[in-house]
Formats: sequence, structure tokens, C-alpha cells
Amino acid sequence: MKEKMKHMIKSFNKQRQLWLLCIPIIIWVVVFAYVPMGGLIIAFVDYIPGMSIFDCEFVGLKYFRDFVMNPTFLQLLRNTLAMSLLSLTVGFVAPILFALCVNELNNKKFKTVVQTTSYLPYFISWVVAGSMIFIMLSNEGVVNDILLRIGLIDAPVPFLTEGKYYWVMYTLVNMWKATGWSAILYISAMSGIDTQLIEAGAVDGMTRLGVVRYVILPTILPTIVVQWIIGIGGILNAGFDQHLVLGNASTQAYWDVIDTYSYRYGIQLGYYSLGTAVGLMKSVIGVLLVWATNWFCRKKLDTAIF
Amino acid sequence: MVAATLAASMLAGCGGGGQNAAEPKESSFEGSGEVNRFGWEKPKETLEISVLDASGYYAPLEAQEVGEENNLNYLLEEFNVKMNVEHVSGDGTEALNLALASGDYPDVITYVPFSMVEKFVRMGKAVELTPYMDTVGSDVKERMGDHYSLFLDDEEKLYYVPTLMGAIVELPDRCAHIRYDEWQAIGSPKIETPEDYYNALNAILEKFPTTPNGESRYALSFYSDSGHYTDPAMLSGFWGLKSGYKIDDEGNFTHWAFTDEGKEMTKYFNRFHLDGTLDPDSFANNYEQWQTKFSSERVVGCVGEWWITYNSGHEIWQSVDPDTPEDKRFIQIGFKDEDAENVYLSGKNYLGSYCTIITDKAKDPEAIMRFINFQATDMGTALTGWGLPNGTEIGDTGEEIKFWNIDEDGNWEVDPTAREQILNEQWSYDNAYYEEGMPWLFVDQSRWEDGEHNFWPNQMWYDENKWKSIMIENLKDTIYDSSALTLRVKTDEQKIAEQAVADAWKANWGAAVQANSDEEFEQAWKNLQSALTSAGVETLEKALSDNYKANMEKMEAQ
Repeated sequence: MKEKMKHMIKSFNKQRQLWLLCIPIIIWVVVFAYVPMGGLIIAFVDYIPGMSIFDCEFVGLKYFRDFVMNPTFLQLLRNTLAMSLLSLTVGFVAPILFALCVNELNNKKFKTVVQTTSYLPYFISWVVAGSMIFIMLSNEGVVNDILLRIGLIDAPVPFLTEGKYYWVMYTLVNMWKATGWSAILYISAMSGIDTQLIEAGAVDGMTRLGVVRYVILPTILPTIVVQWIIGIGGILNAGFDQHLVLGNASTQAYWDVIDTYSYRYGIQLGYYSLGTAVGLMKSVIGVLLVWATNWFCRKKLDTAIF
Repeated sequence: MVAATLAASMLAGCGGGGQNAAEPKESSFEGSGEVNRFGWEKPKETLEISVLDASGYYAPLEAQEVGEENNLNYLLEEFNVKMNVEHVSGDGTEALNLALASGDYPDVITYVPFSMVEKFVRMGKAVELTPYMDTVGSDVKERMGDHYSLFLDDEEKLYYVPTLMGAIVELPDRCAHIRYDEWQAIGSPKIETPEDYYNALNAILEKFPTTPNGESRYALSFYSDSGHYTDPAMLSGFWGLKSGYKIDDEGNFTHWAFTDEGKEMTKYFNRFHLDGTLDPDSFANNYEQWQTKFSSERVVGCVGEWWITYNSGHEIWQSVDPDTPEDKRFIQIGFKDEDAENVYLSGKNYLGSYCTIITDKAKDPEAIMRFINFQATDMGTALTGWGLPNGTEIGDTGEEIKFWNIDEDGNWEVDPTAREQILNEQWSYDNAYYEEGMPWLFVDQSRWEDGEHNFWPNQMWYDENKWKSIMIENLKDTIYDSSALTLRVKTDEQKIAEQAVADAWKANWGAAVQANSDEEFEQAWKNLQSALTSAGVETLEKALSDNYKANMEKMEAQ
């Protein structure tokens, strides 16, 4: 124990300049990430803003129970998981494929143009994106107009008002906005690959696909795994503002997720206890999933975050 | 930041957690003996009032900011009242919860939702106003009139005044609309029933199937986004339901989705869908998108607030082309299902929707109540609603705008030019921002005792305005007093049920309206009922019934 302590102090002394640099960040994390955790007690009491915690009635797991017993709970869970899983499959693979394609481009100027253009949608606010999507996908939108003109359909497809299209639309729109941005990480990981490895592969007769499979993918695997574990941790975060913008009354049965429910009841109705209980439940499940995935990745892929 | 504030305040218990009303404080108000032309006795020492306007989403135009500054300066000069006003740029209720949690709020808060008033009262942070109502608050009490008892809590105490109360009894809020010139072009058929309206819209559509730009048109279109909904509760009024409920003789409420009338109403709109004449984006349009469609003349008819066809129709057309024919505009109409006893489109809730409270931070609540009471007088109402009298500069244009004049002796008149402009619909609401901006602590929008004037500059002299006269005449039997129907005190269970019921109809009603066959319609209707039942519609019905019966008893006992 003493030895361990000594080692820690020695290591700290050695890295003191780095620790000094970290001080503002540590303070920030403590103040804005750890101190507010005290507020989680709200989930277990009937909280009234301004009232001392000691005067608030302790209700135990009432708000957790209320949420789970809510008649729309299963629908909320279904929507949240469905959209999250689509993001974790289709939405997760898209930036990797895109990064591989961009990496294959030889013309540097063209590569820069493609990369820049691809992440521009990320900076478009959801409100503006919503208007663009309405213009594209409404019954009188550009997409329906084109489909009607080329005779593929006889009547407009109600993309925005029929729930069955919502999950697909959500996934595609998210991909449009985020693929380029998410690919930056993979492209930068690929840029670190030793070109001699690729050249050696070519000498050995590897095709471009072979290079991707045996050189590039194994090199960026740790990045993929980290992204995957983080993604799994956020499985109960299936978007928020995009639903308020893209969703409407007709499609609510398909877009209403845990976060939008929590916003309506927790914030808009002022039930902070309920909102906090829902948030806490999500976080606990998220942490458990991160641990489990991390364990799985360590066992099977020999790569993990911690 | 929100979490940090809540956590800090919660652990510190900065609110104290009292359960009683704020303790009464002695008033130090001393009049100077000088009564100004508005009938207000100036205080000897400047009366300072800090106000939080919690209406939310405050994003003023430059002219509005100048207008507020003009008004606050005027108050200081003419009334010796120094008012400091803060506005909320985000959600008002969220801001109030944070204010309550942090203990950071001023003397007076306006636009407080009733649920938040309850919290302030429960925390002992709202001053009880009952003791003032027969003294310095007597004009407010008089304005509340027969509804006074409905403002009191179970212990007959008053903790707030409505920020905006009352109603213009003859002015409808909601109605059906039809294009006047097109209605004339099809021979001005009588519209007395839903069937007549359906036929008229389709006849217009047949005669004018496309816009002047060649785009297709729809007989009807809806809109739906936060705060703006084509609300079936209102639509069911054409079929004789009140505020979306069937109320039996004993005061029991049944939600529209469980009545024959509600089903018939939904089938009526489904018929437009089956014909292909209902805008297919009716349940996707937000209000702005709907306005764009409407101002492009793509919609033949609609149902909603009376003003939507003003600011989406002829006001736009006339601003783009001043030569727009006068008849190219919508008129507001009503109709009644043949089986309905009456039609109920505009429920007048005299109690208002938002409240003004004096908080425990106020050093002299009685003095503040004096000023609130001034706003309840006719001159206070005029100053608050009509703007500053005797002319105000329009920015730096060198020109002036004025709605009314008042001399040193208190003799007043509405400016004849302004009156003419209002009647001809040429009044510049943009310029009027420079003279408006008085904080609303208490406003009664009902017509004054003279039967002519009221708070809103553009809601007078209807009989001299052709279009308003048509609206008033067409909709005279559609207005009803909904004050006793309004559920203000709600338990947590009732609040959650209310939200869940709203979620349920919003998610399911559209499917019934857009059903493609009778079978599909019946299934959608069953789904709607089932969703409402799961959401707790019975809890809501019972709460509304009990509340209504209790309110009727209170009013009868008064």
C-alpha cells in the first residue's frame, strides 16, 4: 500500500505540469458534472422548487414506478430502442464506409471538397433542417413531385404524416446530418496508417479490398470499438430536438421517446421529480450497458475503454 | 446550470419551506395630494415596483423596446412610479420554477400560470390580497364582478389578480371561414349546417380549382404545432358540445371522443379526406407553413380563430398589392348541426388564463395594489391598452402616432384620425409599438360601462366596420360563458391525465380523419377511445364535472 502511494506521488510529481493544465477541466467536471448529482435526490422526494429537501415528502421509488406503469411506457421504450438500434447499426456503419471511400480518393483537392461538403449538414440547425425536410418530403414536396412525374407512384406518399415511415426517415436524416462529421474520426485514424504497410500488402498481391480488410480495418478497430461502446451507453438516447421538429401529431406514436416524454412531463408540467427519475433510470441503464459492452469487447476483440 | 441551481437550492433549502402566506406588511404609502389627469394620486416618494414578465419567449422588435422605455419614462414623470421590468426570453414556467428554487424574483410577477401560483402560495411567497379588495383594490374587485368568488381559494382567500381577464361578449374567438368574393361567385348560398358549408366549399373548389398561379387548391386545411392546433374540442362546438365536452343537466362531463356528436364531427372532416379535398399535409403543417399555403390562395376554407384569415389572407394580399379588391377576403361564419340544440364555438373565460402575484419580496404590497387598482380603472385600462396619449414619436422619422388625447383636466377622446384608420383597417400596428408597452399587471378586456370602449384599440365600433359587423352578426349565437367550466385547481393525477389526454387525441385523431374506408375509420376511432381511456380521460371528466358543479354552486351562492 505504502509502495503504491509512493509510486502515485512520484508519478504525480513527474507529471505535475500536465496535472496543472488539467486543473480547470477538473474543476469544471466537479462543478458541472458531480455537484449537480446531488440533485438526483429529487427523484426520491416530492420536490417543490424552493422548498428545502428536508421539508419535501420522501416518496421512495414512486416516480420510477409511475413512469414504468405509465400506459405509454412500452410505446416509449419501443420507439426509443427501435430508433437507437437503427442508429447503432445503419447509422454506425455509414461513417465507417464513408471514411473508407474518402480514404481511397487520390485527388487531394477533390478529397478535401468531399470531406468538407459531407460535414456541412452537421452545422445546420434542426429547425432549418426541419423546414428543408418538409419541403422535400411533404405531400407536395420535391420527392413526391419527382416520383409522380416519373410515374413511380399514382398518389403522393405521406412520408411526414404516416408513422410507418418515421423511423426510416429519422435514420436517413440523422445519417445525412452526421455521417460526414462522424467520419472525421475514422479518416484521421486512417491517416495515421503507415503507408509502408499498404505498399507491402500491394507487393504481396492484395487488392484494394484486401488492404481495407487486412490493414485499414484492424488499424482503426480500437476507434470503432470506443465509438461502439459509447454508442451502446447512449442506447436510451434516441434523439430529442429532431423529434420535436420532424414529428407531428399524426406520427407521435412512432416518435415519442423517453426524452420527449420526460421533457413534456418533467419540464413543461414542472414535475422535476418525475423528470429526474426518468433521467436517472436512463443513466443507470446506460452505465450498465457500457460496462457490459466494454467487458464483451475486451473478451472478444481484445480492445476496451477501461 | 439548471441542475446546479436546483441542486444547490435544494440542499440549501433557500426557500425556507414555509407553508403559510407571506406575512402582511404595513404600508408606508403617502399621497402627495396631487391627482394627475388620469385620476392617480401621485405618491410623495417615488413608488418603485420591480416586475417579472413571465409570459416567456420575449423577443421584442426594436420599436417594442422603444415603446416600453417610453411608457416606463412616462410612468415616472406622470405618476411618480418607477417600474423596472424584466422579461423571460425562454419558457416562462421554467423560469418561474428556477426563480422559486433560487429565491431570485421581484416584487411582482405577471403571467404566472395558475399551477405556479399554487406553488408560490404553498411556499408562503405570494401576498394575500383579500384584505385590499374592499379598500385600495376595490376597482379590481368591481371588475371581477359576479365571478369574484371563483378567484378565491377554498378558504375564500385571494392570492392573485388575473393578468388579463374579462371578455368582449359579442366578439367571437373561433369560427369557420369562407372567401367572400368566391362565395358570392357561387351565388351566396345560405350556410346554416355543416352540410351547407361542405357544399359551398366544394362548389367554390369546382368553380376555382386552381390558384391564379395554376396550383391546385384544397377545400379545407388544418395546422398543428406547439400552441396552435386545429382542435377537435372547438370543432365539436358546431355539433353542440361545449369546450369539447357533452355536459348533462346534472353537470357531468363526457369527452367528445365518447359522444355521437364527436364521432359525427370526425366523420364530417373524414369526408373531405375521402373526397381528396382535405389538404393532405393538414396534420403536418405548422402554423407558418399553413400561412404560406393560405396566403398563396391554396385553401378555400378553414376553421379556427377569427383573425387567422386576416393575417394570413387579405392583410398580406393588400400589403403586396394595394389594389387588391376589397371583397377579396374571408368572412367569418357559423353553422349548426341540425340535431344540436345550440352551437358553442367561443367559450369566454372571464377568469383569464394567467395571474399576477405580489411576492413576499415586495416592501409595500398595499402601495403596489394601489397601482394595480389604477390599471383596473377606465383610464388605467386606456393607458395600458391604447398606449401613450397625445402623440408619440415614431422612432426618428419625425412623425407621430397617437390613438387618443387627454388634456390636463382629464377630458379625453379617441383621436378622430386614428378612429378613421382603425375603421378603414389602415391603422399601422407597427408604428403603434412606439406608444405601447405599459406592463400589464391587471387588464380587463371587457367593454366599459359606456358600452363602447374597451382595452383593445381595434375592438370598438363594430357597427361602423362592414366586415366586423358581418362577423358579429354571423356568430352572435355561438358565444358562451366558459368560466365555470375552467378547471384551475388540479391534483398531480389530474394534471398528468390532462397532458396524457391531450397527447392521446393529438396522436390518434388525425388517423380517424385520414381513414381511407369505413372499416379503417371505425378502427381508428376505437384506437382513439382506447388511447384516451388509457391516458385517464375518466379522471379528467370527473375532475371537470366536480369543478363545474362546485363553481356553479359558488356563483349561485354569491
